[in-house]
Amino acid sequence: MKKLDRLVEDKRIVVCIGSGGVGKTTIASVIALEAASRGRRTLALTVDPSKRLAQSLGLTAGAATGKVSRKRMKEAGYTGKGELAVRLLDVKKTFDELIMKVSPSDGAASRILANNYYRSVADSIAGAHEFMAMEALYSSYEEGSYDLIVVDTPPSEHLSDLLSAPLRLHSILDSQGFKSFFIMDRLSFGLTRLVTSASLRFIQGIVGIDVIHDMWEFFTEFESVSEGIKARAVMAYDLLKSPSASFLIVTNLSEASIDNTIDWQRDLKSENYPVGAVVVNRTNRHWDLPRINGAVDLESIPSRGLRDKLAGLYKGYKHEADAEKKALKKLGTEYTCLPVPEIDTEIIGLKDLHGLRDYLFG
Amino acid sequence: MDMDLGDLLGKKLIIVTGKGGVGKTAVSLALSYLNAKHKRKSLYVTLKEVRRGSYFFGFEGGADSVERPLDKGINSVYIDPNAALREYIRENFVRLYPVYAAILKSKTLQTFFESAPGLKELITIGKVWHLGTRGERRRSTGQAYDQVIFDAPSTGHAIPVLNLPSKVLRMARGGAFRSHVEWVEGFLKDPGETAVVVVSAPEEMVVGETLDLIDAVKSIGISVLFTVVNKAYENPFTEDEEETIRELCSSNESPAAEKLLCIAKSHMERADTSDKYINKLRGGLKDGVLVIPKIFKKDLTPSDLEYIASRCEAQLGGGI
Repeated sequence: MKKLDRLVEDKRIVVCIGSGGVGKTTIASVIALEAASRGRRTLALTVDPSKRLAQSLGLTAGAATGKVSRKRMKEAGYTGKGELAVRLLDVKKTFDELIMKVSPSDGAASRILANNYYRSVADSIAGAHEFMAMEALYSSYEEGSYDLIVVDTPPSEHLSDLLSAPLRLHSILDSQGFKSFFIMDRLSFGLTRLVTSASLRFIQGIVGIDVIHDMWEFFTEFESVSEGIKARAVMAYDLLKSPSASFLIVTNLSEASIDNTIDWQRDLKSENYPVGAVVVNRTNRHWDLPRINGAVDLESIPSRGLRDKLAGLYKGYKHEADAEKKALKKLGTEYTCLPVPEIDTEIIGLKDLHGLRDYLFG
Repeated sequence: MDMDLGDLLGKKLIIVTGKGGVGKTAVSLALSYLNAKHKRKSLYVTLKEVRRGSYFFGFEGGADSVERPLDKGINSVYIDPNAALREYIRENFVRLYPVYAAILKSKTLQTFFESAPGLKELITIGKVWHLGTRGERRRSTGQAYDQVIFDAPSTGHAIPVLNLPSKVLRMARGGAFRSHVEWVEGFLKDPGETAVVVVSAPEEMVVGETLDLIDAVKSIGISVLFTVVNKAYENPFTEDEEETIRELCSSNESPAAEKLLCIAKSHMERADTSDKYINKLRGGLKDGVLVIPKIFKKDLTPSDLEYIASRCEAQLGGGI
């Protein structure tokens, strides 16, 4: 079976996408560790790892960066010589840095950063999280210190939530509609003025004069950085569509996750994003369950009660395995499909991550 | 704290949340069945439209913007936040239809709503409350409910939303929306009216997030009623049987039986892991923890939901 060896050796960017709860962070970590152990300078850009996984990745509580040292990788069973850099996405900080990067002057940047609207809600606008994940990826790439960046993305139901977010958010912030609103109110007269004034009063009625003022100040100031932000978003898109990038779809075999994966495959393909593989995480380990005839196969088991319980258990596991096989068939992916069976222990330490590598790499 | 069925059924609004994939919808619907069992009318509210024909626990109607019965005593409805926003504007600000239409069409206003995060979410929560309490208002025409069960977005999205009222109140020092937010805060923080039920699963990642979520909800000032640990592995064997399984596991002549015994052994190990996480949650939480066994089925049916409801009830003390 074709595995992900080429992917970690050749690519510059690997983006792991998937619904919530399927194990994206785990899979992204396994990939990043493997690339690092093969000697590539690797950065794992992660969104929200569990506390224990974060610790394993060298992120101490509250820290935004960490690393998995050569020594710790060795202890976990990796034979190579590399080490792994880890970065945790900080939406607000990435947004601040982006503003500073593209501002025409320090003054303009600090006026935006000090704005009340920006400070209290800008990072909660729909799409801000996804936008900043992409910006963090792009700026890490720009730094040039890494051969490979493995990105773990915010959980999304739809691909468009993830990939269209930057431009959608940009269009909200750059809205001609909103700016013209204030301009028209000042310049127009007669009926037009009456209507816009009424609308302005309407918004003011909803949120109050302070918010209107803060927003007006922000949107006016935003004009100076708008083009720069858009240009960076476009460059990030180009990068993600280039042959040096690869998308990995992580899914489990639940109905909802399979449906999402089918949609994503279609959308990624139609928008020309390169797809590397589909990783089917946490599958039932008993797919090869033999057919059991309770009366014959279990006769060596002494007690009737135990036989019945075992038969009941068998029925449950068999049902689950059959349902999963059916789901996998429904997925019928044209891409490399790598099942990773569920293991009894929890994936929390580097050793556990190392234990998964054989499912993804040859 | 002792858990009490009366406490649960006495709330007007139950907000069900938890990490993605733990089974929030199944638990929400099970709570609806628990209401139905005690002859109480409940409304299941979701923010995800379920189209007719797509899988929804075997219920035929799905969940759309029209309130309709799902089963006896249980209605369901899907709330579209955009529609809720339009309704809010129409009812509170613009009573004249042509004006309302013109204002809503303006791109400016749409942009404004997009760039004012939380507005839609808070109006949606307001609408959920409204549906649940309309029976108490005079001249109300719709169905009256004893309880509304809100199948809320998963943790990652829920905390920012629950956090919003205070954020918005800090920013908006005037305006009608401020009073709306104050009203929302009022019923969310009233422990007699509203409570959160957290759904969890006996897994490392989920348990950690559950504890964080409960901390966050409490620090916001919203009451957490109990945590439902879903999909727990249960050990069906007696100690003697366990011993027999271990003995026979590698010494059986029939390969099929051997395989099955190994599955039984790993099932026992998983049950131990489940217990470990359930105990971790019990240790970390003063509020109750209910345990629901993993159901070995890919697609649950209404009778499974009733089963979950009965398991919940059995673990809740008291009555109504």
